[in-house]
Amino acid sequence: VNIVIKNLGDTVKKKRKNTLRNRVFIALICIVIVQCLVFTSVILLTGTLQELDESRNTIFENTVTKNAETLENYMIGWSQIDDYQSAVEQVITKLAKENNQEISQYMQEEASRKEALNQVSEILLEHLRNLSTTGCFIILDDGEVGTSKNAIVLRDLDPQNHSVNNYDILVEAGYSKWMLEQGLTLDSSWTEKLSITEDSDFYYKPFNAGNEYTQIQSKDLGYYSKEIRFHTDDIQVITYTRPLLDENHHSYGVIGVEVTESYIQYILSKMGVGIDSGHYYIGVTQDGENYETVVVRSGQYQSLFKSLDTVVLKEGKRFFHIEDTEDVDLEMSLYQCKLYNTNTPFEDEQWVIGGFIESSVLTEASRKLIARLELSTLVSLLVCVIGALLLTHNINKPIKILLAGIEKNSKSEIELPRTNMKEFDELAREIEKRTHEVYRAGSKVADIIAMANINLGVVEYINDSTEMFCNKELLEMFHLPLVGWHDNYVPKEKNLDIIEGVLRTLVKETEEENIYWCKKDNGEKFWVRLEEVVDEERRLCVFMDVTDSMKEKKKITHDRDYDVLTDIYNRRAFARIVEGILSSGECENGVLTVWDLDHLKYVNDTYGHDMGDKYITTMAHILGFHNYEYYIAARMAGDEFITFIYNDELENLYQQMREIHKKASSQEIVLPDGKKMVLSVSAGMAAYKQDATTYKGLADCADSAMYHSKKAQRGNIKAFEEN
Amino acid sequence: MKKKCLLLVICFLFLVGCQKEDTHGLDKNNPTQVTIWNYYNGAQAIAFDELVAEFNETEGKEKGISVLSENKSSIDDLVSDIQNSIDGKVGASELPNMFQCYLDVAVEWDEKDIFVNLDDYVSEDVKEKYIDNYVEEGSFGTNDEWKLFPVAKSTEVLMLNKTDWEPFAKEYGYTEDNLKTWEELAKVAQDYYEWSGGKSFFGRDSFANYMIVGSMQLGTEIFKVDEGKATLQLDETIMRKLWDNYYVPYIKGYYTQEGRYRTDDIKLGNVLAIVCSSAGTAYFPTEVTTEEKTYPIEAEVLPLPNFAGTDSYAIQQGANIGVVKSDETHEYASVVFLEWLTQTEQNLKLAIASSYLPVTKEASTEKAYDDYVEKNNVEVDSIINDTFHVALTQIENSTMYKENGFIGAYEARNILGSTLLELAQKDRSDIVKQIAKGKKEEEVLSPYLTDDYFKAWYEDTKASLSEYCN
Repeated sequence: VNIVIKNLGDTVKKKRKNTLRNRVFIALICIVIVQCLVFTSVILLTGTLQELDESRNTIFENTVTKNAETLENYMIGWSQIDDYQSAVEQVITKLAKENNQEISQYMQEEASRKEALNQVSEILLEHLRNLSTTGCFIILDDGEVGTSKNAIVLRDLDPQNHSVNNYDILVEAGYSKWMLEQGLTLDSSWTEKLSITEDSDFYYKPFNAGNEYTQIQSKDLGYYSKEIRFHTDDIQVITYTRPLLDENHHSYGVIGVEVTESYIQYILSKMGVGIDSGHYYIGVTQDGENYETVVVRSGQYQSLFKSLDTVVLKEGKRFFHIEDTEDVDLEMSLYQCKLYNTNTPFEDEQWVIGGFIESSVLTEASRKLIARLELSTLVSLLVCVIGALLLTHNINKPIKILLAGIEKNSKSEIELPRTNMKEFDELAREIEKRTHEVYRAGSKVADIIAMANINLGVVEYINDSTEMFCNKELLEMFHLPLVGWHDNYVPKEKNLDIIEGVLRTLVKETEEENIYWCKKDNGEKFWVRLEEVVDEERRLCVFMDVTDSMKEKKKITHDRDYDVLTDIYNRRAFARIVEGILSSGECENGVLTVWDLDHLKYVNDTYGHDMGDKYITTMAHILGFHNYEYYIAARMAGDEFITFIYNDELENLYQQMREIHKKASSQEIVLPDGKKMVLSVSAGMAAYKQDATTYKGLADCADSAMYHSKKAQRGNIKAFEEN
Repeated sequence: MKKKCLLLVICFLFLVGCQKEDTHGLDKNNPTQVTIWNYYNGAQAIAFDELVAEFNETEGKEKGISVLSENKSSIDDLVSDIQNSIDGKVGASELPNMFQCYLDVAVEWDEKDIFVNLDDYVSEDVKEKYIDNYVEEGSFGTNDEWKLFPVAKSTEVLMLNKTDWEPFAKEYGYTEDNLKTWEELAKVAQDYYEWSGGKSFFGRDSFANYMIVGSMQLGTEIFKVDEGKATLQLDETIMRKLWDNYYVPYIKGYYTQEGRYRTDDIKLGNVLAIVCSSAGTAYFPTEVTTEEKTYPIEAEVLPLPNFAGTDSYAIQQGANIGVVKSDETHEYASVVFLEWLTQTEQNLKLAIASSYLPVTKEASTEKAYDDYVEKNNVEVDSIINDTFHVALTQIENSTMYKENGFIGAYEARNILGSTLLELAQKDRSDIVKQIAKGKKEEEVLSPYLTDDYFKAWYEDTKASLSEYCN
């Protein structure tokens, strides 16, 4: 019998168990996620981002407008040259008058023009100091188109500072001894005359306007030029020019001021755009879409604009979008300058000042906010994860300590380590107390068993425990050579195989439930009853010694079925067994034989009953010990016996019977008087199925056959014959 | 767990630390603006502005630096603006982050501790690339810290209006070799005066250089500087020689000075030959305009004359750039710009456009120059081309005199630059007036040529100078 004590719970499917860590962890993460969601959605849904962008846009727009107005005022300031112009005109008028000529006439001679320039150079220098532009000039016309013209161009690169010795003034064109005496320097690209081509708008536009618009005063014919250079290798300037008009309102030259590109850039560099360093653009347009660049102030995009012939500005939602910029999105807040009076020749040329910036900068604040939100969410999650890990670690730690303590101490009274946490230490104390009680209860039961002298062996296997319960009685019952037995417990690992090995030798008792037997060392049989309790966690096996009751039971059965004198079956047991064989259907042929000892009465009477009993037991011995599997014998009563043999050819069965008869007939017994006496027995045989099919029928037939045989001659065997 | 946390914190700090170390607070997305004051103009200003724009669009954009260049019309304007800013005058601008600066004023301003020690930002390897003399010139003060960054340097050369020189030289059998010493130059000038019927032959810029280099060459350094203190060594014999070779030809009309710069005098036909800064040759005209006519001329660049029998000497000059103390980010940004500006490519671009000389060893070679011209297919103005080669040869063959800064150097230099020259101008003007009145030339000249007259000037000058040095 294979008795397995260990875990039966293996087959029970384990449920996935929730751990404390998971519960705390998930709860904390959920809280943080919800908080972040609430926080983020408040920001996203209440329009905070839009407001942020909107306010940056407004700051950008307002700053650019304010700065553009400032620059516009600068430009309007630069064009206030009335005093300077009238001073020059007075000198020229005076000169013409001194020569008794009209101005137009006087200006025809180059010598006169040179003289005029000589005379006005002092006025130019004086006004240059007052004008706050980087230069001023006069160009006198020679009546030809596209030739070099007499001119004086003075320049002061830094109009905010004045050098007493005039060392800061450069002469770009024109010459007079007086200028050199004043300490002025001829610039590297200096020429005496100024080259004017047909395309020189700064010269011809106001010059021609002077001739064309005879009703308009010179100051309303002023013209702002886009960037020009006076010489090819000179720096770039923008100019404001007015025609010089004679008595007949004919132009004889232009008077003007210049401002260098770098000076405008310097002014612009002092102007931010409110939200970032930003960039500035000055341009001119005629159609409101295509702009000719005048000046760009930008650290990064200077050459980008230089590469564009015209800048295309598309009106967007709020700002203008600069087209044709390859890699960047640039937004421009545009301000339209009012440089020209209404109904003047150049009012179509619309000057604009724009502050521009990468589109991304406008939305930078909101993008940064989003990025920070993302970051703070991440950080919160991270902190939460770390916090949750720490927390669960801290909660788990004492529990683990307790568990380890319990596992270590499982055999007897346990003493648990202290965790220094009130709740857990109370729990530990309680566990110790309960365990002690349970242990005591267990011992008590074991003691009671021992005291009651009940042979009750108990073995208990508990999952996850390192020990097994195994009482002393069990040890004695099976003579178990267990290792490390102490106080009803043994180490599981070392002893499990031993216990199972011994129990494997148990043999199941037939016809008895839960009863097993095995042999003791002295060969004596003993019986035990096994009761089991099995659940997920443990398996409890209780063995009770039932040898005595089993022996008693066996004796009763024997007395009932066996003849007291001969120790072979009695008539009743025989009848029951044969009826059982016949009704089982496993029998094809059979021979029932009734035997009757002859001369019993004689022996009894002559030699006493003891001899009579011996005479009977000798016969019983011969019948009882026939060596054939399908054969039983019984004593009917007195000197009568009965046998049944089956499961062979009928003839063979007859033959066996005859041989037994022959053996009995040759058996001698020694009588008390020393004489020998041969057994004499008469027998009648009845064949199963042929003669009868029931036990009773067979017995009657055999009896009848025996009778007939005895009647004919004692000591014979005869088969039943009808009639 | 604790160890892990600690490790994370250390990693974080390390990363933050690394980043800071690398950029000094520069942020690509939020450019740091640095200002530079310069006094370039004309072609130099154009070239410089182009380089600034190039920097802003490339290296500056990359690193988050935006350079704003402000142009002051002249060195005097720049000096007075800086002075006003330092003195905190009403209405003065804030100091820029960088400005062009000569040693003479720098020493004085250094007393106010305004300059960044460039060694704090420039690695030894990079510093090694600059010509030692230039770095030495910019190192001064108590610990000889490196305060001025060389960007473009110059020396002096002799420039000749070859077109007008040739007919005269041919007649007198002169060649350019006759312009190698001051003594010979005076003789040639005298002959030209006579040949041309009273026209001046020569003029020079930066007169103080004549005095300082001349005296040095003749054996005595006028301002001997030791540990920031200057000793005056005004040798009478040497001064007399300088006097004889400039004052005397000047009052006789052989030399003159009318315009602000001698190139102006060439433009107006006032003189044939000038000594000017190699950086001023860009101003040398291609035509001459006189009262009567305008005509094209050819120019020739020659080395600076020396006194006969002396070793060759020349001045090493050209403003450096000082970085003003502000905060780490601005200081670093400024140095990044200056290092970029003096990389071979940029340095040669500026040099060629402005006829300045490069400042690094690598760029200061004929080969680097030729390679650059060839690679970039630059059309170099022939005068600038000649100047570059003449100046480089001169630097190689001469003892380069570099000024030593001391307090009062600026004023002392101004005195040296004006006393003799202004006296000569005034005396010449008087002489012309007297001759115009009909007096004989010799008669008029004689009182100016006496020893006493020289002595008076000498004593006077010595007294003026001793205010600034002992």
